[in-house]
Amino acid sequence: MIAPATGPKRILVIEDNPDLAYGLRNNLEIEGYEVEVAKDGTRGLSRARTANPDLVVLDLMLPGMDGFRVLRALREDGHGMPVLILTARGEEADKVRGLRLGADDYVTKPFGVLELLARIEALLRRVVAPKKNGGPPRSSATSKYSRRRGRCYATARRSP
Amino acid sequence: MTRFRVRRGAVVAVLLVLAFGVAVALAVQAYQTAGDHRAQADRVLRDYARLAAARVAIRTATDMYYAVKSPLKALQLAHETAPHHATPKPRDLHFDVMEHEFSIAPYIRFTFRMDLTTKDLQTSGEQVPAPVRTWLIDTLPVHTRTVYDTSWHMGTVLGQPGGDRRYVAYTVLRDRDGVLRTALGFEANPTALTPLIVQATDTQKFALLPRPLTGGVGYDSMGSIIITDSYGVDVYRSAVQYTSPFTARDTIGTDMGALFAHATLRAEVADQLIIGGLPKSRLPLILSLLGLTAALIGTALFQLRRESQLTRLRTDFISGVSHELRTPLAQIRMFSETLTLGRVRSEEERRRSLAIIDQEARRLTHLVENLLHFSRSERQTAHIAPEPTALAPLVQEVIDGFAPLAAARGVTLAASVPEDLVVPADPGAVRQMLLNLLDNAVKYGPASQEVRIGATLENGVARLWVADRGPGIPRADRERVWERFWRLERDRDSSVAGSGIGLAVVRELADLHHGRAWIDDGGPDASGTRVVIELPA
Repeated sequence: MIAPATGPKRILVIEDNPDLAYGLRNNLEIEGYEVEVAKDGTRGLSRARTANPDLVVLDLMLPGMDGFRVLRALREDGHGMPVLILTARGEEADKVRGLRLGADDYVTKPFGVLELLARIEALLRRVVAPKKNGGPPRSSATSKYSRRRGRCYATARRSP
Repeated sequence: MTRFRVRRGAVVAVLLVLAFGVAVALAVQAYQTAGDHRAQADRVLRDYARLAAARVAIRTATDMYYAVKSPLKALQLAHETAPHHATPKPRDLHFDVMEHEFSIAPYIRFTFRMDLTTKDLQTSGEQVPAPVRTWLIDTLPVHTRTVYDTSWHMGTVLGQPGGDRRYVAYTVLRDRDGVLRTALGFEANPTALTPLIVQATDTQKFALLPRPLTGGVGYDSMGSIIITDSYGVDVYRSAVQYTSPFTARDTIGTDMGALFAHATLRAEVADQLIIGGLPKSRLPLILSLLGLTAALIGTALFQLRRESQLTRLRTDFISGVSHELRTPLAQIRMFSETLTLGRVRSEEERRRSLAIIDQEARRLTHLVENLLHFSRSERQTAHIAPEPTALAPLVQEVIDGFAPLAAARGVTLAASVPEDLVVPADPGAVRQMLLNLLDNAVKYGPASQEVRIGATLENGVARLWVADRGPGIPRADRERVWERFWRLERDRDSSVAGSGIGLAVVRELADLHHGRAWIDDGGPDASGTRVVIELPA
């Protein structure tokens, strides 16, 4: 279940646009990650379940099963790896929904490559940190959305 | 946003229903008021008719009184002068008649004196038949007791003993004891009544209704009169007879021969008799108001539904367009940054990155072209410049440009267009239409399919078609998909970004060429969607 601390971090990219997936793979590989690409939601979910990557980059509009459903299924299974939503849907409602479903970050297209890489790195760092305390390196992200204030709070919390 | 729209729609719907309710209530009220008004007007007119009948009765009675008063006075005078002589013969009966009064003298047939106690009857003048004598002897004592008006000192009787019509007028003298004892009178031909009434109701002097009620209505056209006797015989009928519901009867008086006066108001005059005229039925007006209200409400609800539909479609369109723009932009930005930062590991990666940038820039161009055309057609400023265009090279050019985009989904393009096919068309418009159709075919069809492009020339029209192997378009939706912003239900929330204007642009461009565009199954061997553009050649 736990990625070996010594090996390269493994990232699953669930993205149906092959060109974008190609660019993401190249950039992530240059950073030293091990990258796997899934072309649709169903395949993405099964790969996330079996390969248990360290991080998932998830598009929302996917053929078959959409990103929200993939995310929910993952969280319901108890998979706690960080999930970064990368999507062209920029509406606040989508962001809120994604974060409430348990996403750890939300990046809208078009995006800056360096920013995306930095966010991925930050997410991975946060997961590794609790390891020093001997706890499992899993994070369960929950978020609270305050309707009254119209703000969204995302908190990463150690799972029990 | 949606909730607000729904609430606003509900509010408008409630308001419309209320408006309709108020209209119905108003209509009912107006209808009732009109009914009440009409009933009241009817009542008033019937009262007027009763008044008219009463006026005729009084007038007739008065004239009869004056007509018989003078001869009776003369008889009384003769009797007082010579109580034991026979009553004067009619021709010897002298009395004064005013110039304008009716004179009954020519109609008097005999005079008489009768002792009411002994029933001794003496007559002078024409021979009196036995039945008439008997009738007089039987009638007078009873009449004197029951009907005779002691204040007017006279009584008149209209009778027909044995079918012989007789009109009798008499007065009674008291004896020393004050008992009504001696009847003095005369008999006249009842035909006298007709000229009497004619003169009495002469419209020069007499009006059915008093002047303040009638306004400017001429007396002669106000209504009609009938006078009948107690045997049902018409004694008099006015020259013109009207029929209307406003008719009434009054008694002229049992002491005046028991005649009846019937007055009928002319229906056309009724209008002028009521202040403000007779109320017209407002039912048609009210019904049309109701119908109009209902139609307005229907239209409003339809518009409301349409508006909310359009708002939703527009919202979808904007998010669709922004999504469609973001995707190529994301790739252009990512690959250009990748290249700028030197994050390429091989020449092959570098070349492919550049190719993707180029391809996505083209996609953006095409998208912007579509939007531009769309906005031009929204403002109705779209136009085309047709020129003889060879389709084969144009199709090939489009395929060459589109192939990389298709290849990204593993889609291959196959074209079969006759080399010599030339149509008068705007090459830019044809290119735009083809690109839209190819884009749809690749977007909505399966990966790795073959998209076919074909063209034919038949009967002076060129047909250009694009067929895919996708899920096809349900027959029910084959017209709607041409509407702007309209997208198939199954695509709205799918991964496929779309703005819903592609086919609308195709149809508009086809229309500008005076052509047509439609969707069919693509022939018996094909599955999927085939879109056909027909252009006049």
